[in-house]
Amino acid sequence: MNGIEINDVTKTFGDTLALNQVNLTFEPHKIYGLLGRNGAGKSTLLNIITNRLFADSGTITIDGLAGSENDQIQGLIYLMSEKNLYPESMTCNEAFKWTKQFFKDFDLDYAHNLATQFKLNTKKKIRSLSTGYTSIFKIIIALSVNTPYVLFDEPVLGLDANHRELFYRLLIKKYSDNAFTAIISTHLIEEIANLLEYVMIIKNGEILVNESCETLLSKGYSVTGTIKQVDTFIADKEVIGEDVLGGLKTATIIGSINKSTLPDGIEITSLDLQKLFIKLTNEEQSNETTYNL
Amino acid sequence: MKLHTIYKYQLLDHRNAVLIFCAVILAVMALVPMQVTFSNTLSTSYESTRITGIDMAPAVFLFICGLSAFKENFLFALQNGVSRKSLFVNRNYVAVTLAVVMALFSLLLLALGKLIESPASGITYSGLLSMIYQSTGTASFSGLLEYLVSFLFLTVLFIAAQALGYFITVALYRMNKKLKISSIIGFYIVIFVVLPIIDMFLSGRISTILLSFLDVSMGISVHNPFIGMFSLIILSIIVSGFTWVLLKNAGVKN
Repeated sequence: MNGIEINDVTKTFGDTLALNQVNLTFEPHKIYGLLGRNGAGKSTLLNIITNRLFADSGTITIDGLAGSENDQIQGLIYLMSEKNLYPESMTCNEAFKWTKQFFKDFDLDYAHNLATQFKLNTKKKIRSLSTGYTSIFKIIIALSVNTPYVLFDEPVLGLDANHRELFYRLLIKKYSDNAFTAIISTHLIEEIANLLEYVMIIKNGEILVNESCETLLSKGYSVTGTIKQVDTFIADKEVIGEDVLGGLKTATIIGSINKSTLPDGIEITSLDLQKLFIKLTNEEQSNETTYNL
Repeated sequence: MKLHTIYKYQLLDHRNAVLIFCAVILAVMALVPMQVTFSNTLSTSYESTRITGIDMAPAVFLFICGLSAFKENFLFALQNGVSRKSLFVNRNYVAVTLAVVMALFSLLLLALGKLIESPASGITYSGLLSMIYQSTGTASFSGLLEYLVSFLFLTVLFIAAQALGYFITVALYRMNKKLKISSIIGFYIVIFVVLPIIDMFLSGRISTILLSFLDVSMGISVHNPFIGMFSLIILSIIVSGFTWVLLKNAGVKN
């Protein structure tokens, strides 16, 4: 298996450059986070991978074969998209049954089991589902489809905290039982940071970061202490974020830590992925500053 | 497997509409003799009823089926990893299947029409084929030959009706909102305002040319339905070709 290889993919919509010569590889059996601000090009990329849109130039191969207009290859991928592509007059039950016909490994019993866990009434028509339950309906199909590659585009849109937690648990369980490639595009970075093995940050149609989550998070750290202590400590360091709460201050720093120089009373925690994301994708600051990742 | 499934899905998408349509047409067919009998009972004068070209209704119905057969199916196909090519090829299979089924239904209507047709009842029935090709001419189809030629002609006509409907809906899908509105309004203005006005100034020359073209292409004057079938096949191929050109680059819209 070669995974999903994206080579020099460019896509424009009128005057807007959605993707600019993107090169990426999604390896088999890994969980990827595809992160980016609104309009960064995440959904466009996922739509091109799954043959819903065509790239202006570049190629995409899945397990070594071209994915565009290839029924056999597209049978290896499932995209749970933000936009609902199921007929609104269809009931959830009917959608499950049809999915079983299109994807032979779709687990109908598991889908019904998940529907019970999420309390989804499968007799309801898709048009009558709330935003949250529409996401749940699509999550259930994505988790039951059993294709080698499952892509999630904003999977937790409209979901309450309990359902989001349940989704993350089910995803980990599913991945542990039978590893597959999951690509998750979401804005709730803090919630999925612990799930991800690799992080890809996309900005204005270009890949800004493409690294393992562990490597990325090892490139910095956060320190917490009194304002005075923290200010003294960070004076000569590359700081990407600061938060003050009462008398306590937390600073996020890029660079390696020398524990011998660490003053007493300062607590170290690992780098916050969301803070790093905000700093990297912030238009005004990133135009002026380059962080040495 | 996917090819078979997308065929089945698209076909089943029309099932309810087809059943309702057939039920309505059969009900109409059943009501006509009842209505004639009832009228003749009440009235002192003898009334006769002529049923002609009822099998034009399936053509209109299938045109509408074609019009409504794209957007949902296209998005559903993409969601399930079906390529545009497979969707299009299977749409054509579905169109042929529906055309054959509706042509057979029309033959059933023809048979029913023949059953209720009698001088005593005052009802005369003629199908589309005899309405177009026999009403003014000498060519005659009767018995099994009438059924066979009717079946072939209607099948081809129904395929063309669906191809046209499907082309229009795919073309509208590919257009942006402004182009869509201007195309629809522009079409009606050209057909119902501009053309009649120009035709009037040219002393009906345009309508004469159009009618002559229709006559020649359908083989009406020469009473040859096979010319009509050939023209309808060519029309279906051309329209389907344009549909494919539009469909092969279609994408999901936000």
